[in-house]
Amino acid sequence: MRKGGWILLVLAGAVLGGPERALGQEERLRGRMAPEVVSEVTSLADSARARSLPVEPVIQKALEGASKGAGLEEIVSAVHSLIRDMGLAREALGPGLPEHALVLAAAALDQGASPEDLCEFRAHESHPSLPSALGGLIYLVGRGVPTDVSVGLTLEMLNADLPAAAFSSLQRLVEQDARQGAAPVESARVRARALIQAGGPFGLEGDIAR
Amino acid sequence: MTDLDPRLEAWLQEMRRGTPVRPEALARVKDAVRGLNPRGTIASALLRPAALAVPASAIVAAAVWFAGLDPGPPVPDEQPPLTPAHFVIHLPEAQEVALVGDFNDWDATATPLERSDDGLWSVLVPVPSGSVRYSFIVDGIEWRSDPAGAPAGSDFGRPTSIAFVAGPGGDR
Repeated sequence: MRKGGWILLVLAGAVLGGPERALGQEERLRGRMAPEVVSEVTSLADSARARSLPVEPVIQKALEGASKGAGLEEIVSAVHSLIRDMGLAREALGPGLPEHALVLAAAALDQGASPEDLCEFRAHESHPSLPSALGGLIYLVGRGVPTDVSVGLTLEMLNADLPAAAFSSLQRLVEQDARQGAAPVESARVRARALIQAGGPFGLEGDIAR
Repeated sequence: MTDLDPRLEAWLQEMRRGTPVRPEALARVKDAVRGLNPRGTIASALLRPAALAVPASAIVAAAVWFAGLDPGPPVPDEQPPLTPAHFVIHLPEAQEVALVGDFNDWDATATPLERSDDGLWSVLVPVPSGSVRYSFIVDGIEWRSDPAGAPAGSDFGRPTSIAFVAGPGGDR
């Protein structure tokens, strides 16, 4: 097939696939929540789609609310916040951010990080470890490590070009230290620096971390 | 043996001949089966007593472990590739535990966990690579976050965890 033919085929698929996916998403909502909630969420999902933001996290947030027994206002408010956070995250980190990294960045905002904090990560927009770093940031903030310390440590690790596995190691090690009574903030500092010195998790954790 | 319907016999002969399978596809299937087998390397490594340093007094100790799995070429509808994830939580007193999350539409009936003798509940689930939000539901009423996972706040008044699942090529 000529190149133009392929392009037409891809465009046709995008045009035909969009509404079909949207209908499927609405169907999934319909069996789980009241019609007025479905209507509101569908409208919000359409607004996310119009801004080229991912829609599936929006649907999942609504389903999460339904599963947790939330009402219309609570679900709409949570979905609205998620769309706002995804928009802010994209502005902070750049338009080329992969979808899963965008969702993680939105979760970091939800956890208390600021858009300015996320801007610090923009230089690493295409770093393969960025999604894991954002996962690490969410973990640390959620564990009570102050946001500025969490941002600083994850950025130091990214600047050191550590592999993605280093961030999951950090999480495991901080958990291990916390079980022994260590404060997460101190553990995070010590462990992050050791990972940076070692250039990654390999040969550092030994048997104690497994 | 009784005589078979000629159409069935023809079908059986065709089946006996086998379907040609590319070696790389066969290897991928074998890898996938190995990765998803609860008695396989991932689960057995995690279910070793030494794998979970759980104090006897602790109510919960949970871990989510992820293993990379080559999902083959990307599918046309842009669904992210699936990666098997092992969800584990230690709840000796629980009668039933379910897993809900982005990967099962938060359906409390979709993913029950299996209990081991010492109260370790676990399930191996293929999840889309990327970020995954999830919770455990204990005895149908109590929502629990994963103590070993990253807390993702408590939207709707109930705790949730979030994890990053590295897909093929996403983790160096």
